[in-house]
Amino acid sequence: MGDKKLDPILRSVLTNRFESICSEMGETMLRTSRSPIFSEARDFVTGIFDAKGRMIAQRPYIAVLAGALPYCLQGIMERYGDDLVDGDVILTNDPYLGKNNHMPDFTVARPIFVGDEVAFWALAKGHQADTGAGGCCGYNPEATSTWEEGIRIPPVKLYKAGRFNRSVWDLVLKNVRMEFMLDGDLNCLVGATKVGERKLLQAVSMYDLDTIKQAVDELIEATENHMREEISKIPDGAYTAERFMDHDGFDRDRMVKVKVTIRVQGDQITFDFTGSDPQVKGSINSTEANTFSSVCLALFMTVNPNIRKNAGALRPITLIAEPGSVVNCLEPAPCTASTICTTATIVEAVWLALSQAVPERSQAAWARWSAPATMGFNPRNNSLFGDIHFMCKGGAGATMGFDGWNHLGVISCAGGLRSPDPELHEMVCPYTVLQYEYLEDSAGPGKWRGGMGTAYRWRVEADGILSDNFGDGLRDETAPFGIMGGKGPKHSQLRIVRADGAVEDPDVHKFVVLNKGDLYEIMEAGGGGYGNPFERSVSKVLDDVLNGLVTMQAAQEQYGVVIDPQTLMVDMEATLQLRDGK
Amino acid sequence: MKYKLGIDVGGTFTDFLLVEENGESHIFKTPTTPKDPSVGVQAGLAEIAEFTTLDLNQFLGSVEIIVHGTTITTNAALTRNGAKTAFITTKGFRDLLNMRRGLRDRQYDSRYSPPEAFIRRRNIHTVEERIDSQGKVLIPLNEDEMLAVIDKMKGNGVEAIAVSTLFSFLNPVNERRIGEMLREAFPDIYISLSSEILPQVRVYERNSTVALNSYVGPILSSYLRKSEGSLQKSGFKGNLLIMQSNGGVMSPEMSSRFAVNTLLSGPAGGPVNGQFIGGIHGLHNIITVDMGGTSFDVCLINEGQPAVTTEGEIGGYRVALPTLYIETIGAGGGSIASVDAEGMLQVGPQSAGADPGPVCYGKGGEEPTVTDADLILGYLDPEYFHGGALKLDLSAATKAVEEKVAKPLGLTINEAAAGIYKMINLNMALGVNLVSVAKGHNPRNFAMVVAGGAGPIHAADIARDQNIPLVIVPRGSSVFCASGMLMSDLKHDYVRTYTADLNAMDRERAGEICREMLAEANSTLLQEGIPQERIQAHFSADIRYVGQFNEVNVPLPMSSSQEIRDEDLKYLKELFHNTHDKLYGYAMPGASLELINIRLQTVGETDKPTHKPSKHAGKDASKALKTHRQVFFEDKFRSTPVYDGLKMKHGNMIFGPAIVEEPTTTIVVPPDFNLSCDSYDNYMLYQREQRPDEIIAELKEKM
Repeated sequence: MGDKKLDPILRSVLTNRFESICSEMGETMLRTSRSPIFSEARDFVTGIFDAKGRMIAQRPYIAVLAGALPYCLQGIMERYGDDLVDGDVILTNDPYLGKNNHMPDFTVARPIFVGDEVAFWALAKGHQADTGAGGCCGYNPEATSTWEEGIRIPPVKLYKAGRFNRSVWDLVLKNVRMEFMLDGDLNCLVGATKVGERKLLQAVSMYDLDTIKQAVDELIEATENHMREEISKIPDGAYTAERFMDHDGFDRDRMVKVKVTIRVQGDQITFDFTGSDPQVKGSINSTEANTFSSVCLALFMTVNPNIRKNAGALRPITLIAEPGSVVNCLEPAPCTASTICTTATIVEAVWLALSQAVPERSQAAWARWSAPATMGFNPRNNSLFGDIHFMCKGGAGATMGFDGWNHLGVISCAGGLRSPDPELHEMVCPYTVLQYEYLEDSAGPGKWRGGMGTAYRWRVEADGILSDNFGDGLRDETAPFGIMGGKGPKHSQLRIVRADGAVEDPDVHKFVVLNKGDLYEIMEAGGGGYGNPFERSVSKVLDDVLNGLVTMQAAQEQYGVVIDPQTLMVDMEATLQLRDGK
Repeated sequence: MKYKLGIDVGGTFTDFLLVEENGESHIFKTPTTPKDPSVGVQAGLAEIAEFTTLDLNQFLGSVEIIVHGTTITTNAALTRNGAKTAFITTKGFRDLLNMRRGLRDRQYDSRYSPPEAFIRRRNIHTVEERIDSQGKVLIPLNEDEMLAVIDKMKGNGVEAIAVSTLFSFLNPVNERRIGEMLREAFPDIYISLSSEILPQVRVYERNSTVALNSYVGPILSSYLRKSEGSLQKSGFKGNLLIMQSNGGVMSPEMSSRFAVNTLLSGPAGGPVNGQFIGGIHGLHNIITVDMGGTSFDVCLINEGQPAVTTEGEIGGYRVALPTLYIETIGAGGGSIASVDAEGMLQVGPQSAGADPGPVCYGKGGEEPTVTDADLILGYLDPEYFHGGALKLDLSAATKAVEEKVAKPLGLTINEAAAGIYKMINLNMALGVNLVSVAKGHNPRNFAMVVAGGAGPIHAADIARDQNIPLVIVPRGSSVFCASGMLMSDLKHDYVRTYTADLNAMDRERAGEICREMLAEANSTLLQEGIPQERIQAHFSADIRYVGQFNEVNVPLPMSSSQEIRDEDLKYLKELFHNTHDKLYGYAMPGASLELINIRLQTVGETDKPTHKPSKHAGKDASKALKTHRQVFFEDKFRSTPVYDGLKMKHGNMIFGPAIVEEPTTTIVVPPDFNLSCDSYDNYMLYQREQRPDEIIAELKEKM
């Protein structure tokens, strides 16, 4: 190789090829999975790595999964070291032994051999509909250790030297309820890594291994430089913020704190979580992998979005998270809800801190996730079902110059989570959806307002269905915040109206059994606003009123825009008076 | 003399292909007149009449068939200039249309706006009604509420209405009643119901399709009425047919009703033509590619069947009716080359388009493009672009490439230009990979038919990258779509959602559904003047493994009276497992299967123009040799022969490196390729060590 740089054209060509390999792997998964969590909601990620475990490229359908892949591969490499042969395929879901982000996300890794050596890895990771133990679609609010959250799979070989390892496969399948679904989705993960292998070997035959290795080195270095350049644009200093989670499911009166101090020095950035709460009893503990991944997500959404997401982009980031804290939990702390609750809280804390440094690139908070996973038996088609109610995605936060997007969902997914089709949903689950539309006045006001939240109500048509809301955001303190004078919306609200009329609060992190005739109602918050709402353009406010997104009362109180209910025209005089008064 | 005429109204040019009875064809082009496209069409017709030495009336009187492709609806949708449309849906579900399933393409980018809504929320109305997932009426239509909605719409200037309610595909009773009430209240307004346009599960996809149908319906119907009227006034007594996104054609009446079906029809003539060109050699596995100014369209035809998708998209919204699966990549002659912050060369998807266009056009373009690189490398002749109609500015192109690409990358100008050429070819090759390898097909078993002015400059490189053994460049490849239109049959697609476990399904009911659809299809085609013996019916089924959320479409075998017999079911299952394996790399024989939709495509065969093969004129192509010029291949400029394509005859053969020029097309033959002319004077490009007849024989063997 030597010092000579690769022809920049060849380097560009190979970079494009790497990215297309990850997309093709993702496409395979999208088409072949059985669980709606994969195929409809696209809760998965694919990536390719070099022999040193450095991420070359990835295709995150769910953004928060991307930063967690490198950890997972590290866990696998540590465990297997040299004990690898061509044709091995490794599975893990273990947050500790496999450095996996949480148990429902099964990770399949395939070492790719050129000659006798591992040259690359292809990884695919996705959320399974069922992980066994006491959980509901993998979420168990009563778990106080990782063993109660699902079957624990340290890195194990699904295939040994190309031979299917039936013992492992059966052992895993026989420990979950929805064996059929998991069987299909494991096949689909394995299939995706096979596609990755085929394409990478093809590239090796076209360009030779040394050239590709050099291209990877140069790509990672170029991306690192780009990331450093972006970090340099953030003024040097220390920026601190803290955000909370509702509770851990056990001590329901105690909010759980995430605190971050971001220190920027030149082209280095450190995220120091000292001061965050110690790890808790319930499943909102975050592993280091998940914390790091959440930090990456928050940062990537603030700097230039075109930075390539490879090992180079991660290098300038330093994480300080005290072992034993809620942002770096130790075995055997339960951690399944961390990718939703803790991730959102970490991202919010990072954004709130960064808004002190780079307000022009910051964004207001997105609505937290607050909806249940449900699991049970559907008498209509005589089968078990498990589904996450992805309909109630809330609004995104506003940015300078742009309203937040409506119904975009939980921040972990950053807009990559496809809402389910309500018709298919009713055909699979014993439910009747009564309402699924934007929730009036749910957006945080601002010069640029937050995205709209969602009103989602459904009736249960069968007995004995287990549900668990694994999100949070049901308090004023955990509702989305606005920035730069923008306001936060009202927090999300949930209730169950039982068939007999009794009203119940499902709260979060709590098993609730649903029966025929029960009504589940979710009023999911919108996103936070950016800038003073009294500076929002009057015509935009009128538009929102005419479109039924903002009521006339809210237009007047929150935006200072007076609309005549008869003519539906803006009373400019009254508006100016009101706006000047503030 | 009788004529057939293809008219393709494109963004820049309106292409005409006139075919005489003896198969001889002539190409005409007029500038498109975007405000009223019929003006450009009329101008072209006058020019053609003059060419035939007839007056317009006599000429049109002797035209049997006009096949018309129009992008009028596409443009209206992209520029949001459609009808002011209202949307009516089930109470409680007001926003499913504009939620667009809550996706944002650029996940890390929070500083851009979602696609503009076609229908604003204030024009979306809900009424109380509900069908359940079994098709039972849960809540009958609240007619008082419906009347209130009608009142609200009156005086609102509504020009079109779309209706889509939950589960109307299982039971359309409420939706139909809404339709009746609307038609009574608004007798002159364009109304479409989802149960008529697309009776199929998935509510956003259905909403979006029917909303778009109403959004562009009024524009298309008034345009077609006007065009048909003026053609008839000028003496046209033949059949007017409209190109559809599924690669077929329809009568103006049907086309007006299913206006959404023209939205993606722009490139749909290409694959049809590719099928014809391949068919000349008995080849039915074809990849068609069409490289224009801003985009590269690629479509795969397997065993004579072009790939079809129900996941079409326009302006950020979905078109879920079957359309040809044409993958569009942002790669064209106008694609802009730049160096990104990580030192990577990027070519496209940004494009300089036709205006200002590439730097070398001298119309104010400042960003180096693919065409500029092609010029620097000597692939294009600055004096003979569009037959010399446009002089290209080489020094301006060179300067742009030097400043924007060569200097930042530390390359020479020639290396930079060659890099642009390589990158754009890779992007296109990856596009070919998307429709082939990613869908379970091996490009080695396909011939590639190349359309578009810029395509043949880049085709050999793409073929080499994807291991495609044979490239065919049709004569007059720049009016590729117009020629395809004349080869199109009438095609209608029908779908009914019928969900059942395949083993437990009520085969009687399934047969009934098939017969219902067939009766509707036959009566439509008969009205369009197609006799029964020229109608073919193709039934298919969307099937998945129980629990999956995506279906695979496979042909549905049955008896001639639409009965599904035991052996049909057995065959259907095998077909599904095999197809699944081919597409996704695995199958699960033994797992239970679930039927979702039954589909019918009927084909009404039209009269095609006949073509005559020409006589073999020997291998020697020296009569067509124009000159030599310096052309860049591999890593240096070489003196390269340039041939006049118009003088090349059947059998003529050229060894690479060489350039073949036609007025609107240039073919690059790299050093490792040869080129020869087939019996229809089309060009065949293939790797040097092979012979075209051997390649064709091998390709046939693999079919």
